[in-house]
This record gives sequence, structure tokens and C-alpha cells, in this order.
Amino acid sequence: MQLSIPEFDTISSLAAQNNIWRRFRRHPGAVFGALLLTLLIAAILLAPLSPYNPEASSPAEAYQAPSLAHPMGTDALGRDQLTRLLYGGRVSMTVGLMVVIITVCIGVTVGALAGYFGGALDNILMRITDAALTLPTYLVLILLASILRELSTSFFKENNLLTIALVIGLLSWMTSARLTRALFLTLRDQTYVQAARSLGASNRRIILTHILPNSLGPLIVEATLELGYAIIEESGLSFLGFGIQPPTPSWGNLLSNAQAHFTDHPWLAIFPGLLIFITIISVNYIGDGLRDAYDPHKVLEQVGEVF
Amino acid sequence: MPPKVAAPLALTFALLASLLAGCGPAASQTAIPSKTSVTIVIPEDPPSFNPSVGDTGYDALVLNLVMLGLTGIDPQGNIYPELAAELPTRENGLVTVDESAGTMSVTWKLRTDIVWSDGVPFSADDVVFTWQAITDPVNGLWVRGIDAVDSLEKVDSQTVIFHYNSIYPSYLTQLGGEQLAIWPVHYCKIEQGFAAWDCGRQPLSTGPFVLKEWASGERMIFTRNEKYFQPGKPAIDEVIIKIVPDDAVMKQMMLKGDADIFMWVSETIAAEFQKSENVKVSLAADNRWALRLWPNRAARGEIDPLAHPHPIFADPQVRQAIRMAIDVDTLIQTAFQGFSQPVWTEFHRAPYACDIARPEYNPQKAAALLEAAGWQDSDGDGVRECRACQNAAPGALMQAELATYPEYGEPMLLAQQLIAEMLKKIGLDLNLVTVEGSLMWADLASGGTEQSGNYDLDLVDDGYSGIDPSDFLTEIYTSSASQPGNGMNFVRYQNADADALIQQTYSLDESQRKTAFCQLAQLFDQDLPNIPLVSIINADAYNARLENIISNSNDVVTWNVADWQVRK
Repeated sequence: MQLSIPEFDTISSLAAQNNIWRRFRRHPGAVFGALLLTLLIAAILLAPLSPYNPEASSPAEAYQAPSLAHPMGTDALGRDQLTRLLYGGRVSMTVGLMVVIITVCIGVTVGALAGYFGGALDNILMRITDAALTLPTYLVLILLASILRELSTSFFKENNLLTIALVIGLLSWMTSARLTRALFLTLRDQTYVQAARSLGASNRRIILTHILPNSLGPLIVEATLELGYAIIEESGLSFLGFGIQPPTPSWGNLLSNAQAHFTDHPWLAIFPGLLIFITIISVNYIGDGLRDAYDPHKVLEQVGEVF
Repeated sequence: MPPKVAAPLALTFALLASLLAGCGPAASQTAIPSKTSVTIVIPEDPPSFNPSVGDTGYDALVLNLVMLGLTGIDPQGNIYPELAAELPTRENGLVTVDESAGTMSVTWKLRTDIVWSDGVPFSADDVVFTWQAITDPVNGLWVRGIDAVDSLEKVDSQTVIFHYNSIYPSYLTQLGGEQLAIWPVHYCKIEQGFAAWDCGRQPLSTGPFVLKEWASGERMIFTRNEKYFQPGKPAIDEVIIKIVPDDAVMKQMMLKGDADIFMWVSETIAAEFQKSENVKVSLAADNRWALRLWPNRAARGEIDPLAHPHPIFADPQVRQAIRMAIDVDTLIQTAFQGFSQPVWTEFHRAPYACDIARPEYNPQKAAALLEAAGWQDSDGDGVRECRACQNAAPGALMQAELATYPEYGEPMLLAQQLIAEMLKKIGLDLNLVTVEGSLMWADLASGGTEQSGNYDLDLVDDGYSGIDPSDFLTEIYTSSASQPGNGMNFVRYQNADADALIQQTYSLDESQRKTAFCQLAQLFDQDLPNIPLVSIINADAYNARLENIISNSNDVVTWNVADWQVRK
């Protein structure tokens, strides 16, 4: 047992890390998801090449069905739906990434402190986490969004994307916190941590340079899943009128605006729904791939392969 | 055949025979005529049967089924008697004016053939009781014109006199119209309070129907009131109100024939219904509601427009420029599906319509007006900055917030985007927000954005019920109403001339009133306390099997429910 751990560590730092990408590539779903997401992000980044202005109305072209000129049709104000979807993707993806950053920052910090130090601090932090988990997500999202919007400071009004991301992030860090805590609880008593401690490493150093890097696999998976949740939650908030406000498009508000037109102008609902679906499924597949790539059992299998 | 076998066999034959008989033509000859039933779909329960408390429209909808007022208002704005035997006027001697004291008295003669659904006769006691309940100092409620009435006098069981301390021209709808009905003294308990009494949820009836069942959140069932005073009415046996919280579901129910009436349909849904053979849309004859821009004259969160003027909208030139830069015809065709009409003055409705020229749509002139007002785009970024403007600091950007309420639905949100785009073209940059109606119109203590002045520019429809604008003008335009809690003058418009002219409209001299209204129209056309843009439809959809469904912007669709018929 004492012998196997240094071997594992050695392998993880050398061969296993090099092989993560190889294992990821062997996961067909993950490759498919990564390809789709790459295409989508490329299209979103190329949005400015569209000949149409995403916010300028053209009443004469209202409600046009998909055609060569407008591959995804036009909306009630005659705006090109494809252009708005691409610009909307920028908003939704940005919100998603910001939420991931907020979630990981809060969740990992809380989970790491609770898991590493344990005792009263663990109790307090986990009860706070449990309490946060019991909050009815959408009600609190709406409440928070309203409060931040009505605050006298203009910061939140002028940074709508950040406000939305903050609102979603503040309600989404708990899963990361619990996951991190569980990982830290497992890893804090490992031999290499004890060795570091006996050599006089500070708690900060142990957390940041020994335990955290070894927890990255599951955390990366969690982060990818969180990106998907964030896009869905932004869509939900926009759908309820509390997210990104028109004329700025987001996938959520585009879907929300299509609500009254499911039967007469179905393309207005189908395309934003489809893009949200593709993004979520891609991210989930990538998450699956990363989970498998970082799976210790697979790593050990890989060790067997190497030796 | 043994009896043990014969008996079941005979029973089987008998059953078969009866089943076969049921399938034959004899059954249709003896069929009992089915009762006529109409189903109305609404998104939420009415708070009660008392619209003067909740004012959701759904309370007025059910009130019309069971309760009558002294008068009603038809779609053309004509007032007609309900519980009153006739309309009191100066001509028939039922209205007397003391010119020297500036007071008046109105005598109401009541119908003698009305009984409550429990058999108790309707009388003057009910009228006096209703007024006492409304004006109860502890449990009462403020309603329009309440302060103008000094006292009520019961002359006999069918006669009541209202004594006024001033001239009150809207006296005909004071205990009638859209919101008020007469409540039974022998049934309602005044100590429970007019706004909360039990009879507000389980009312007796003088109307065409009686409430049979109210399953909250599901349905209300009304059956014919056998004691209704109009012989042969109502023609329908049963009205069912179904609570369906989703517009899309209500729309499908209408299209599939599972619902008969859809009250207050939006332009989007009305346009869709007009393509259907099964559903018809009734559009109100009178344009009560006008969509307007409400520019705050005071700085955000402030009340005094003189001490703290709004940096952008306090300047009348800016307001004129905004009006000139909005292409109303595009708004109508694009956002409102062609259902609306252009509106540019408060006084666009008969009988007080005034001849005010329609303002021109001219973005170039609008831009020139802003230049003249000291707003220039020096850096060429498309947003003007204050250079020599009246109320903003030099260099301040011409940026503000345009708020509307989401409950109206897609047409309002489209209009908001179009207006912002049009105004951006003249250098006014608007950030779009939506504020829930419950917050926008809440009182000051509850943080209402309008009452607290916490807004720049609102896009909201408004208008007055009936044909008399005096009370509405008082609430919207007088200086006293610009104080939070005193009215709805949340744009903080303060003009002594307007105050005097509005006061002049409190007269029974029709000529004097018309003159005052049209002088106000001219004044408002210059000052632009708000900027009227387009009328908003008042439309109700109904199943094609129904007749006499007539939308009424002065009331709700059930105003004439006693006349509804199911086509044979």
C-alpha cells in the first residue's frame, strides 16, 4: 500500500496526465460534444460577419419563414433570427462561463475549508451549504434579480450580464462545495499529504499544491455541468422576464419571446431551443468524457498498460 | 325451463331490449333539451365580487353576473339606468343646483320590481347602506367623487337624495358603472368592512345569475336567477368561469371549442382568432385606453420638479422632440398588428373630443429641437451630451431608462423596443427595463416606482371609464395629485392654469365644460405632461355559436350578459 501511492503519484504526474487527452479522445460522445461545441463557439465568435444588425428592426420583413436570406427566419420586428441567435449565444455563453467562475470560486473555497479543517468550521460551512440548498431556486433568483436591479448603485444596472451571473452563481455553488469537501475529506489523510505536513508545509500550501491538484478531475467535470445549468437558468430567468432584457438577445429571451408563436411562427421557438439543447448535450458529453479521462480506475488501468 | 335458468335469461332479454330501445329513434324523441351553458376562461380567481377593492377586471366580470348598480355604461358611453327607474337630470327636475352655494342635490327614483335572490325586496335602504359602508371611517374605501357628497337622505323606500357640497358632473355613475353595485343591507355585515365583507365572496343577486359554486383556483358556476327583473332573461341557463392561468392554453381552449369567452385578448391572439371560423373577436367601439410615454419631470426618486428637475425630461423641448421622433404608424402596424389608432391628445373621445392637429413625425426636426435644447453629439458616438442644456451637468450623456410592465405581453415589449430604436436615432439612448405592474403602481410605502418617482420614462396605457374625464384629469394632471398618495400625477406635472381649467370642468354647464376640456387639450399639447401615442384595443373573443357578445371599454364583456344568446 505504501509503495503503490508514490507510484500512482509518479504516474499521474507523468504518463497519466499525458494520457488524459488520449482517453478523452477515445470517448466518442465527448469528441462529438467537443466538436459540436467548437463549431457553435466558432459560429458565435463569427457573429459580426453577419450582414444583419441584431438589434435593428425591419418591420417590412417581420415573421419571415426560414429562407436563403434568413436561414432561421425573422422575428416580430423583422430582425434576422440567425444573427440574433449568434449574438444571443455570446450572452448566454458569457453568463455561463461567469457563473462557472463564481461557482467554482465560492464552492471550492467553502468545500476546501470545510473538508480540510473539519470540526466546527466544517459544521458551520456545511449547514450554510445545506440551508442554501433548501432555497427555492427560481423564487430566490427572481428576488435577487429584483433586489440587485433596484439597488441605488448603478453598477448592477450597468452590468446586467454580471448581475445575472452573480444571481445564478450565488445559488449554484453548493454542489461544488459538497463535492470539494468530499474530495478533501478523502485526500487530506493520504500519505503524501501527511508527508507534506510532517515536512512542515503550511495548510495553505498543502491545500493549494497537494490536495487541490489531485481533486481537479471531478471538479472540472462539475464545472462543465455547471456551464450547462447556468445557460438553462439564464434562459429560465430571461423567460420569466428577469434575465437579459430586449433588444439584447439571449437564447433565453429569444425563447421567451417565441412563447406566443409556437403554432404560427414555430421557427422562433425551435431554433433557440435547439441551440440550448445542442450546447447542453455537448457540454454534458464533454463532462462525461472528462470524468472518464480523470477516473482513477482508468488511470490505474492505464498504469497497467504502461507497465 | 327450470326457474333457476328462466329468471336470469328473462332478465338478460329485458336488459338487451332496453339497450336496443335506447339506440332507436324513440330515444331522440323523448330527449330532454340540454341546458345552455357558456364557459368563460380567465387566468386567475377574482379577488372578490368587489372591483373597487381589487380592480383586476375579473371582479368586475363576475360582479356583472350577480349585481346591479344604479346605472351602467354601454359601449358608446351612454349611461343607462339599472336599479334606477330613470336617470336624474336637471331637465326632469331630479337634479337641483344651488348656484349661489355651488352645491347640488340628486334624487334617485328606484325600480319597484327588483327583489334580491333570497326574495327580499330591493329598496332605498340598500342604497343608503352601500354608501354608509363605502364611507365608513374605519372599514370604508375611497372611491371617486366620495368627497363631493355631504350626505344621503332616504325619502321613502324607493327614493334617495344625494346632497353634494359642490357641483359633481359624474354623479350618474357614482353608484354604478364599471365598479360599483348596490349591496344588500339585510345580508352584508357593515362591521366586516366594505372591502372585506363575506358577502363580497358569497353575494346575493339582483343580477341575471346567482353564484352556485366557487372552487377557488378551478371554477365558478353561476345559474339563472329566477327572480331577475327582466322577463325572459337571461337566455342562458348557466355561466361557468374556468380559471386557466396560461394564455396559450386559453387560446387553444377557444380554438377547440372548450371555452366560449376569452376576455381581453391581446393583439397577437386577436389576430390569430380572426383567422379562425369558430372564434369571433369583438372590438370595443370606443378607444378608452391610450398608450403613452410618461416622462418624469423630477429627478429620479425626487418629488419636487422645480427643486430637482429631471436632467433630460424636465425640458419641454426634449418632450416635444421625443413625440416628433416616434413613428406612430409603424408602432401600430408592427407592434399592435394594425388594431390601434393614433392618439395624440387626452381629449380624443366623444363627447369631449377636441380638434388638436396631429403632430408630425419628423426625426430631423426632432434632432434639431434637441440641438436647440443644448443636447449635442460632439463625439459622434450616437448619444448626445449636455452642452448647454437646461437641467443636466455639462457633459452628461442623454441616457435614461424606459420602463414598461410585462403583463401586457408581447405588443407592449415590441413597442418599447421600437420606441427605443426610434429615439436612439435622435441621440437619446434608452435602457429598456420591465417592472411588474404590482410594483410599478404600488403605493409609496410599498415602493411603487411611479409614486416614488423612481423612474425616468414609463410606457404605460391609461384612460378613463365612462364618458366623463373630470375625475381622471384631477387624478392625473392636478398639482395636488403630484404629491405621492394624492393621485396618479407621478410625472409631477404642476401648472396653475391646468389646475384652474380642471376645476372649471366640475360644472353641469356642458358648454363651459367643453370649452375647458379643449383649452386643456391645447395646454397639454404644448406641455406634454404625457405623450399619447396609440389607442390600445379592448377586445374580447367569443365562440361563434354565441350572439350579442359586445366588447365594452367602459365596462367588461359581461356588461350585457342578460342579453347573451346561444345560436340555435
